[in-house]
Amino acid sequence: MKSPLIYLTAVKLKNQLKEAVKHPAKLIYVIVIAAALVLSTIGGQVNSEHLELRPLQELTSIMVLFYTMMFLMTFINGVNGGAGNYPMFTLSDVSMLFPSPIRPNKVLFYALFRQLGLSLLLGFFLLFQYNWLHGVYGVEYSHLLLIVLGYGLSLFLGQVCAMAAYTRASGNDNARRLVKYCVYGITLVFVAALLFRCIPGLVASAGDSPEELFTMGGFSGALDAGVEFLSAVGVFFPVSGWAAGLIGGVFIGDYLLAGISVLLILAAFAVAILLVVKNKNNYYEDVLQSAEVAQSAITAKKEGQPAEVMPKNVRVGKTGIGKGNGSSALFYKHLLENRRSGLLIFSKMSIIFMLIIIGCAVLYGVIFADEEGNTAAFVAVFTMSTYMQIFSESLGRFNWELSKPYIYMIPESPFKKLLWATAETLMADCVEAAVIFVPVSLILGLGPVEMVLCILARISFSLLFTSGNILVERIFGTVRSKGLLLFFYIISLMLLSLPGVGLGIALLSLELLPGAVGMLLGVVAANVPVALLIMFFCRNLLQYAELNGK
Amino acid sequence: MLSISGVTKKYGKNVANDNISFAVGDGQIGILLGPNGAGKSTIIKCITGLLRFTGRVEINGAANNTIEAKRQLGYIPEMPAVYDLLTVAEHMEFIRRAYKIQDEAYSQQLLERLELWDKKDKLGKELSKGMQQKLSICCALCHRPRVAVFDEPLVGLDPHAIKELKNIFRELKRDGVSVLISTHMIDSVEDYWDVANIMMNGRFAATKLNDGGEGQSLEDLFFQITEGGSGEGSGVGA
Repeated sequence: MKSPLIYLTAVKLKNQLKEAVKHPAKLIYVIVIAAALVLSTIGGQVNSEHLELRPLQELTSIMVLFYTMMFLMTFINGVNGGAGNYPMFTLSDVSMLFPSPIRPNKVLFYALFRQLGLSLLLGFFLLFQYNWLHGVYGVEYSHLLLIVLGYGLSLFLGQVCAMAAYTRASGNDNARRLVKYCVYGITLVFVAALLFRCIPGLVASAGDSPEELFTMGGFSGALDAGVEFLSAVGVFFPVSGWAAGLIGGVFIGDYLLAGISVLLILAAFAVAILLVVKNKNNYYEDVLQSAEVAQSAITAKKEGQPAEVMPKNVRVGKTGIGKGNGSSALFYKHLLENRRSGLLIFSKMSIIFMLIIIGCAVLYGVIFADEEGNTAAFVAVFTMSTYMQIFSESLGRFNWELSKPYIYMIPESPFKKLLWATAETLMADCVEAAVIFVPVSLILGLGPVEMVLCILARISFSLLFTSGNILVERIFGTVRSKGLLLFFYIISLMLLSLPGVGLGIALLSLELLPGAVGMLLGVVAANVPVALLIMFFCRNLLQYAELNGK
Repeated sequence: MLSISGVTKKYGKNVANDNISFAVGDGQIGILLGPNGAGKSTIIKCITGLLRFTGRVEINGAANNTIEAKRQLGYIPEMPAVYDLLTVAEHMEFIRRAYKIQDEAYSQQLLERLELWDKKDKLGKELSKGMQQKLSICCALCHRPRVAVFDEPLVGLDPHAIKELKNIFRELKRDGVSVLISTHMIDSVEDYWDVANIMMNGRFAATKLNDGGEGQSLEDLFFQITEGGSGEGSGVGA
């Protein structure tokens, strides 16, 4: 008889395939994603001729940073006992495999194998980066697959290392804290060393003139120093750096680096597995909690209730909502809940996105340094930030509010409730727009008028995407599949952006106004009326819970 | 007065409520009984305006989706509806602010009766399921609704809370509030109901008025209908 674990893996795979065939919507979804992938590949081939290729060391540096960020997030989350939506063990594993007469180590390897496959699958979105990676670094598809492999390895090893640390520090808060402080410490030293290398580059390239410090020349020097550090030293950052070193080494033909990286990765994997296997108690108890937490998050998602992100120990602080009457009580309640959840204005994800956008302003500023007036660099940054905004724009507390009956029961007009319930999100968006585009404008040397217009254009997209979110809730709220919902959401937001993007491009091409002023005015002029119109049409969303599938 | 006329609710081809009509008068307690999947929660969600339906639901003469109706309606859902990051007292403050009412003393009285006053500074997420249910009840009653709809309110409550909630039902009745309760626990409602409706497959299989007489018990009637194969829709009036 076949091993039960092999049987389980094979049957699960078979059933997943059957599901895809049984549900045509899923199949269409897969086909559209594949088509988008093909289009992005063809687009990359066509658009790759006009730019001079950048050195591949830069790509290695980007991988070091990206892999490290993902590795650290996975590791810290794992050490804290969380497992996100993709835990190493599911609750069905815990209840069926753990009590069964199968050796714990076999069960562990079954989970590891499955997790490796899942980690690689999570790297799928990287394939859409072919277009710009091919254009800027001359990356081919085989290289891209290697980048995905490195990403999958970082996530996978992040989970394995976290599991090792978790099982060894289990039940001992001090030991767990020590592990975390060690990781923070290593990261801090790494960041400090990076800054130590970059700042002299910034100063040296600015020459004697301090006002040139924050110009393209200054950034170019810092960037070169950073790339040199990351591609030579950063590749030795534990685990994620080794994964980047392995892939980067293959790219530039440095097989010694690739070989050392493979050895280090294998050693880390072996040590982590030994720590788990040789633990005096089996690891079952340690993964039980994370499996339960993940299962309740999955159940809540299936029931249309988004899992709320909040600290383990909430600091209550000052009590009382204090303000608000009627619908506005929702807004002041949201502010209070945000304070308690440790979210002052922005989520962690928004902060990461902001840093990426500002970082890209520096990078694009260097890439497009020869272009006149930095308009090309600005258009590239603005386009990318808007694309990222599609994913970062959320309805904040509004989505949680929809899962409770109170918002529907409050005796006020549905439209008034809708506006107050989304006010907190819009307020955060306005601050976010200023935090992103003041530094971006300074980096790219834009004038004050363009800076203000950038902020307004970003806010207009926030308004548009918020109303798009509401529209998707209104039309597709009853769709149960979260993947399909995300798909409809992205398509809807892209369609809604078309008038603004179209008018912006038209005004930019006509060159009636200097720089990007025309484009930004066009964006604002089209987005705001479209957003308000959608909000008006969806004003009855809060009349019935059923309208959004709750 | 709660009045339901010809309410039909369909999910695709599945009919969850089929042309339901009934009323709960001022100062009356109406009971909805029925096996799992009979459509009790669906009709309650239609009444509270959470679901769309065909037919008409009126709260003291106002259509249930009007602001006037919402002001007079209190709803205790099957699953406790509690905000994780608000304290017990803040839940009550939120409802008072949202409904624009000032009566802080009544909120305190409700919390004290359901033994939540000493936990007023505890967060929603720190409460046990039973306590969350009690808080949900306080939230639904703190604006003094004229029509109160309870969906399985006794599930998860401790004996003290069950006793106190039964007292609250009687007080609401005495104050002229129309109370509708959906429940599986027949014995828990035997002593205070005015009109009982037994649901099967989305329809009313029987309606029984409590005249205080010695006739067939509610429990016997329930099992006769749900297990004895009594014809659907046949009203068993008392």
